[in-house]
Formats: sequence, structure tokens, C-alpha cells
Amino acid sequence: MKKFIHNITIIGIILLLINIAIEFLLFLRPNTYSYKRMYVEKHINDISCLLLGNSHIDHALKPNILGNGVFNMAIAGRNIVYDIELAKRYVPQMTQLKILIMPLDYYRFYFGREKNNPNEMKKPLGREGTYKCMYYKYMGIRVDGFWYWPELLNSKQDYMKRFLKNDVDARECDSLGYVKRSLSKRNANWKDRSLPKIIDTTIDANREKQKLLFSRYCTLAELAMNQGAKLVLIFTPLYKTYNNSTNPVVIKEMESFVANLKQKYPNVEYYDYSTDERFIDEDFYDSSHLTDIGANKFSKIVKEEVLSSLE
Amino acid sequence: MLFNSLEFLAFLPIVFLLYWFVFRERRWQNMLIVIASYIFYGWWNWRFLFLIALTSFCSYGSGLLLEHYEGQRQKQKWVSASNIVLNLSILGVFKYYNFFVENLDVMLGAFGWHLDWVTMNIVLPVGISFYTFQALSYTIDIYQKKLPATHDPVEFFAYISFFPQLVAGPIERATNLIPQFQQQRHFDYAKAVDGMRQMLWGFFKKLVIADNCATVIDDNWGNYAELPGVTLFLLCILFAFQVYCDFSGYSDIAIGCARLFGINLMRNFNFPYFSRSIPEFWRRWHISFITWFRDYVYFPLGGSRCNKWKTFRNIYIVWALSGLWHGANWTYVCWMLFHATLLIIYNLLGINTKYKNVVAYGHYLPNVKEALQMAFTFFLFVTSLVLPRAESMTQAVGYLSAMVTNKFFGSIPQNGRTYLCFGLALLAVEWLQRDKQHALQFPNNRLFSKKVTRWALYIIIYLLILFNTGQSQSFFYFQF
Repeated sequence: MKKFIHNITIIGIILLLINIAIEFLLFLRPNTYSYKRMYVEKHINDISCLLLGNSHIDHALKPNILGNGVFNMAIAGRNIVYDIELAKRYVPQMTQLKILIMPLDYYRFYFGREKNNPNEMKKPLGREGTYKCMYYKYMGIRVDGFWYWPELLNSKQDYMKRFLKNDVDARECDSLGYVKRSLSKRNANWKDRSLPKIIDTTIDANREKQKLLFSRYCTLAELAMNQGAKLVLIFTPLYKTYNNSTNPVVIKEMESFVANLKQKYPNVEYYDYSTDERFIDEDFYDSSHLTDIGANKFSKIVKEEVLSSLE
Repeated sequence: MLFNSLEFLAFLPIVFLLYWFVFRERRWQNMLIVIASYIFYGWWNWRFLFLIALTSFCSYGSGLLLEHYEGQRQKQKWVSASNIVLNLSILGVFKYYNFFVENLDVMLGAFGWHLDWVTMNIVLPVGISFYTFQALSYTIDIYQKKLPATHDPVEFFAYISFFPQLVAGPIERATNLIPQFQQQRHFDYAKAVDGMRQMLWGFFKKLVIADNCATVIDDNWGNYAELPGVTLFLLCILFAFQVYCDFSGYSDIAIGCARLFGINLMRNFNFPYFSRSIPEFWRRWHISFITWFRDYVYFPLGGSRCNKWKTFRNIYIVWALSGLWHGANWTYVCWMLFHATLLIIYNLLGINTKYKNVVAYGHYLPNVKEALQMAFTFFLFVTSLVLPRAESMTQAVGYLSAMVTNKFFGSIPQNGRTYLCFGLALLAVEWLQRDKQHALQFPNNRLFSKKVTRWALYIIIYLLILFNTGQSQSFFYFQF
């Protein structure tokens, strides 16, 4: 038994040292999180339009089309909690900021009434731990225990592959934060991917969750207002399979949510492209995300219809 | 609790240290096993602990009653039958209720009647098929006088709930496991080290091959209508690697883990992809399950000790039931019936009991005949895997016809090719070790007698796991 414990301890220590070394080497490799943080900190006085949010913005808006001083800080799968933390940290320092863009997503309005969609082809993996880790380790936002720091223990992303990629590939986004999704990599059943959940309207919406979401958007609007900037909410383009699965009750709630927000904060603007018919099949990567072609089109539209009207 | 989770990484050393350093007396060790096993199972859903406790309690009580009615065969029959009915009823409600109601609804639908209101949203308790079968084998063995009833409830509860094999087997027999809980265990260094190696190999198979193959298959399987025939077949091969590495990986971890506690579990996989015929394949695949059905269903039905037609009937009954065991879906039943048909064909050819030895034993390579036989057996198995992977019979038929009618040539995505190569490399390693219990059982030679070689190999495997860990998934066989 002594020999066994002795050997296990030694090999355990060796593996622990390997793990520690890997953790710190990973820290030195570029990735989306660290790149976006570093870029914003370096160009804090140059950014006039900051894009926050999740994949609906991350893959949809190209700063090089939108114009100078635009940076896409959105990251796929982001919870709004992180948007608020990032906005709190950076928006007050952004002297040139004119526009803060955030998505207004249908899925944020479930409020406990959702049920699984039988048409959904691919169920999303639980990535809470991954996000807690990445935001903590690379963006310095800790929302849970310190044990979320090591990627080896928490991340479900292919973190070790970063060692095998060059710097540009490892950071995944272009120099202005946009992450491309190619049409050629689109799945054959793309129309039935990333569909919304089904809303059971017989269940009452959770009032606490409604209030919380409203207060979060209020925080963003207030931060933008204090800088003399607009908060632009965008309902990004959706494919018809997604729109067919949405519930009109929820859509109405979204509209009244925006109306209440605009009433309270005059710097809030809202643009709804969810049913925009200018977007065709090749523009969509799945039911709620755009391809690179779609992102080109959408960025031009946003530049003409949103940014130029606000300037 | 999953083997591939952080919780288990903390759980195992704690239980191990308590087992060998604190609770050194046999009874206390058994008690610790029961408590640890209930924590292990309850981590997933504590409510289902009542179910496993009920199964254990009823089977334990049945054992005592069978002993009490020793010599009164009629009463023993009733006790044994009641326990079987009770256990199968629990299994039936949780696993098959909706399946039967839905099928009844379809049948009655032809007459304009509908039973939608009786379907319920029943959650399938993890591992229910595995521990129910263990409970059944205990009372049947007592009834058949193969085993005396155990009087110590802790021993019995440890037998039913022993955590390494609780949720996905091997399906242990009371005749193997209970006597081990009745003996004082002594720490065996060689056994423990070998157990650790087997666990490492199991983790490699699960985390590197099974999980990565699963991602490729999940991303592409639904597109079968548009993919070329070769791609569809390559996806089936990837699925063959996934299902083998997932399930045998779990068995390796379970067997290795049990050895750390001085317990020997039965072998569950014996390098099945090196089989020269389908009957040989099923002697090497999920051995604990196949032998369970052989001993408790096939033999009581008469087995092969009757005329040919009855033998074939028995084969079909056993394999249809084993299909249902895999899941409440016609795809599983059809999968097993297809294999039953193949077994009957081999039976008619008189080669069903051939090939019990290790293929090409003592040689590095098989001869041409053996290679062709193995390739053909693999082809049959791989093609048949469309059935259990498909969500419905319609999808299975669609997939199989697309393999033939779609454009023929094509490839699979880059990551699929990578893990196909990993799968082939795994087969190469297992080929070299095919006469051993598992692939990391080192041969007695100069190279592996050096500690530095062995440890370097452990670290290489660990790094391979780190660099290739797929998106962590649950074990495939949990759904059974």
C-alpha cells in the first residue's frame, strides 16, 4: 500500500505540474476573450461605436464595413451579466463613444415559460462553466468561485488546440472583433438549427425575471446616456423557420419592453430586422445566425439605416 | 456522478483512502461501499435512490423467503415469480410504459380511438436496466440452488449498488460478486496498479475517441439525404468506434476502479472487432449482458437442446427481448432481430461455435482468410449500427437507402478523418494486446520492465487525452 500511495503521489505531482504549466502557457496564447479585452483597453479613446452582445452580433456585424472607430466586442454565448460588467468597466472611460449596440433577443423573453422545441436539430451544450472560466481568466470578470479560473477544469472549448494554431487563427476573430461563419461550412439541416424554444402561454411569465431583464437594459442605457451616447437595440435577422416558431405574445412583450425602455431613456433606439425580407437563404448560417455573406449585407444595412441616421 | 467529471476525481480518492485506512474491517468496508454508491448514484438524482433501495429490499427479502421455504418448491416458485414480476414492473413503468401506450395508440388510432391522455412524461432512471437484471439474477440463482441466500443486508445492498458498475455494468452475477463481499479484502499492489492502467485506457477511449466521434456524427447524421454513400458508411464506422470506445471505455473504468477496492468484476469486452464471425462477435461484445440472457432466458426456453425450429424461435425471442432491453424503440428490436437472423444463418452453416481462440495467436498479422473474415464481420456490424443510431425506423430506412442511392464518392469532414485515424490506431494497439485483459496490460519484456518507459507512456496518454478531449458527453449506454 505504501508503495502504491508513494507512486500515485509522485505521478500525481508530475501531472499537477504539467497541468499548471499548461494553464500558464494557455494564458500566453491569444484567444477571442483576451484579444477583445486588450483591443478595447488599447483603443479606449478611439472607439466611437461599441458592439456588445452574443453570437447574434458577433457573427453579424463587421466593423470594417460599419466605419472607423467601431469595434465588435460581442462573443458567442454571452450572458447579459457579462455585457453589463464590460459596459460598467469600459463605457465610462470611452471619451469618443457615440453608440453602444446591443442585441434584443427573443430567447431573453422566455421568463420560465419555455419548453423544448421538437424541431430543434442540435441541442446546445451546457457551457456555463466554460464562460465563467473564460471571462474570469481572460477578461477579469469573476461571477463565481476562484476554481473557475483553470481552463483544464472548466472549459469545454478545444483549448489545447490553441497551441496548434497560429496567433490569428487562435484569436478566432478579425482585427476588429468580427467572427466569420462561412456558407461552405453550413450544415445541411441549418434551417432547423438554433431554433427558439416553444412558449407555453398558459404559464405566467416570471415577474422577477422580467424586472431583472428590464433593470439590466436600464443599466446599459444609463451608462450610455452618461457618456452622451445612444443605446441601439437590434433585433437581428431571423430565418423563417425561427420566425415560425416564435410566439406573437412574446413578440408583443418585446415591443412593449422597448417602448417602456425608450420612455424612460430617450437615448434608446430600436431596430427590428427579424422579418426583413432582404435576407435570403445564403445569408443564414442557421435559423438565427448569419453567414459571412449575410454579415456583409447586414453591416451595410446597419451602416446606412442605423449609424448614418444617428450621426 | 460521471466517471469523466471533477466530482468523481475527488470522490474516488476519498472513498479509496477511507476504505483502506479507516474502515479496514470487512463489514465496515461493505457499509462504506453502500454509502459511497448511494452518494454516487444520488448525485445525479437522489429521488431515484428510493427505487434502487426498493429493488434491493424486495430482492433481499425474496432471497430470505426462498431460503425459508426450502423444500417447498411451489411456494418458492411463487416467491421467485413475484420478485421477477415486481422488478420487471418497475422496469416496465419507467422504461417501457410510454412505448407501449404510444404503440397501442397507433393501433387503436386505426379505429378512431386515441389514448394520448395516458402518456406520461416519465424520466428514465439511469442504469435501471443494469441493476434490475442483477437483482433478478440473485433470486433466480437462489431458486435454482446455485447460491445460498445472503443474510447480511449490507452485503446484498453493496452487490446491487456497487458504484463502479452500477449505471452501465458489467451486469454482475451474485455468484461472482456476493462471495467477494463476504471475504476480507487485502490490498494487492499489482492488482491496483493494473486497475489504474485499465482506467487510464478507458478514459482514453471515452474522452479521446468516443466523445470526438460523437461530435462528428451528431453534426452530420441528420444530413444523410445529401451526403454521398461513402461518407454515410464512414460515419457508420465512426459510430462503431464511438459506441465501442464509449461502452468498453466505461467497462474498463468500472473494472479498473473495482480492482482498486480489491473486487474483481467480470470481463465485458474481449476485443470484439477482431471477431471472425458474428457469433464470435457476440461472444466478445457486452459479455455480461449476452451471458445473462443466455443463462436466464435462452437456456430456460430450451436453448439449442431442442429441434432446429424451436432453437431458432428461442434465438429470435432472446434477441427481440435484448433489443427491447436496449431501449423502448423499434430500431433496437430490429437491430437485434437482424443479428438473430445472422446467428441463425451461421448456425445453419454450422460455424456458430467456431472461433473461440484468439485470432492469429502468436503471429503479428492475420492470414488472408482471417483478415477477410474479420473485415466481413466488421462490415456487417457497422452496417447494422444504422438501426440503433437512427431515431426512428423511417430514418434508418432512409439512411440505408441513401447509402446506396446517393452519389457514391465523398469524404467526411477533417475532424472526422482525424478521429477515424485515431480509431484505427486504437485498433492497432488493441491488436497487439489482443491476448491480454486490456490494452494497457504490459508484456513482460525489457522495455516495459523499466519504470521510466511505463511512466512516460502514462504521461503521453494523459497529454493525448488533454489535447483531444472532445466536448464532454454522457456515456452512451446510460440511456439503456
